[in-house]
Amino acid sequence: MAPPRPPPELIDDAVAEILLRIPPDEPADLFRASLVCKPWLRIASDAAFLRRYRAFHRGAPLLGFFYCVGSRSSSPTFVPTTAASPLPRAGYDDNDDEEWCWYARDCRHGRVLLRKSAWTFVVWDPITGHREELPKLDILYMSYSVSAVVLCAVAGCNHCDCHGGPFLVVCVGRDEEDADIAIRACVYSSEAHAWSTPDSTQLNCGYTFDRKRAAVIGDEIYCTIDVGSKVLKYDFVKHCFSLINLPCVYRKDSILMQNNDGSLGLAGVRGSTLYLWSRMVNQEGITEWVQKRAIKLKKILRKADDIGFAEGVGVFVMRTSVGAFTFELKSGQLRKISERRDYWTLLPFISFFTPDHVCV
Amino acid sequence: MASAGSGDEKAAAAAMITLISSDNEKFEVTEATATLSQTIRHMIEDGCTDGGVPLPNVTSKILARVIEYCKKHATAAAGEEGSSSSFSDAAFLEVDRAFLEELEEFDDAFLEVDRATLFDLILAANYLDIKGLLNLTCQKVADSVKGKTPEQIREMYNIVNDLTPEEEAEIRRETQWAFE
Repeated sequence: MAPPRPPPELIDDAVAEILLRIPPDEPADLFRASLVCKPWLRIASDAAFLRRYRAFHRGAPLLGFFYCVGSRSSSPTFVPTTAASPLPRAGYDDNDDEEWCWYARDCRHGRVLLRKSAWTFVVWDPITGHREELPKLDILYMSYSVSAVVLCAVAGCNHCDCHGGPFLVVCVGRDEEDADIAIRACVYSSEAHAWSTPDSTQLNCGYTFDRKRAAVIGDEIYCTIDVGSKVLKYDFVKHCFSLINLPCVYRKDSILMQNNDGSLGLAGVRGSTLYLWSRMVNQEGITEWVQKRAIKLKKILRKADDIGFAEGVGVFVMRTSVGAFTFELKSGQLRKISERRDYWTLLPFISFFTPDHVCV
Repeated sequence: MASAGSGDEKAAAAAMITLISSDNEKFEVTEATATLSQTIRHMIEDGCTDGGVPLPNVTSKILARVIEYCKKHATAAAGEEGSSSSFSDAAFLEVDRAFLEELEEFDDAFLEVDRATLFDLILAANYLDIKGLLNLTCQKVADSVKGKTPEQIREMYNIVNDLTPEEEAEIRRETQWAFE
């Protein structure tokens, strides 16, 4: 039998069409393909091609989770969810201030918000390596009395290609220096290089702010307070606060999120079940919590004592006594991603990682 | 085979286009089939199809396969348009789903080709600008390189490595994480 005919040589346009379709969920695949030959390398590292690549795949993939180890000597650690990880497990490490551990407080739109000290935040872009230390806050928030988020500042952005762009940091928390238990919130704009004038309100709650990733929907920040007993909403454009009751007290094993339909979502574990809620307007025009799904969990997840959720990719991460697991909502697929560690928060890192700067 | 679609009465009544392969074989196809190719659609719009459309980049073997794909997908497109009024929404959805399933099965079977043919089809789909076929064939190759090393990809698709050992070593060093 004659040997099979070898495939013909491809023209650049055809190579681009193939490389374009390599899924981004394992970033190493495009890097390895780029090393096949010079034309493939030239195309795979071309800026215009990569913009097209990121637009073609729409949503960025989940690369892993940052978490903050509850020890003063350690830095936020990265737990990859990909087979080969472009970000090292050791994660962010900066030992110029050993007095204070760098707590990862939020991770959104490809950026990580780190708390350097009681007054100082740093926004770090793990893809570009860029870091920006924000000016000192005038408000004294303790680590347990603030919720902070970082987000892209570009209206209508799909966050596939906004690395290096303008961002906002929003802090909501209890001012420890105010005897009247004032809740204060302020916004940092990277374009203005300054914090806004704080907004304040008086509340008979909000003594502690849960060390949970807050949900951001439009201009509204939603965070759980007082060990998961209530939700505080802060609108940083309308400058107003409001309290929302929860349908059920899940305490630590719950997380707020933005649902795919844009509504506020809540996921909580009780017993052997993961409950998914959505805040919706009913026929009488009243906004209420509606239970959307109840998912029986595999035995190993039933003792989850902390959960996180990667919006957009629909993946939960759950911490149990035997390690952290990811649970994919759509497929139900369960994967162990790390051994047991004492960490505070599980922050999903969602971003493209493409061979932008690989060239010869 | 060479006069694809000529047995179909409906097709015979429609405008026919003659496609001429690089080895001079003539294929007669309906305009609906031919216009899945944007390249041919533009030629028809410009009135340059009299006396046949020469396709010097496509062999008769590959053109026959391309036409097979276009006929199937043109029928599916026509079926979707024609059936919407005669069914209730639910029935229409049912028909729609059956259509899609059948089309998916066709596509899967269509991709059962050797790698050389697959690349020929990609080149033809790119040249003729047939979006569905380009997507189908390129996705097949993209999926096949998942988890593969550069050496394995070169081997699979007969690609000559023109990077110098120094260049390759340097890139591997810079992006070591991807090769561990």
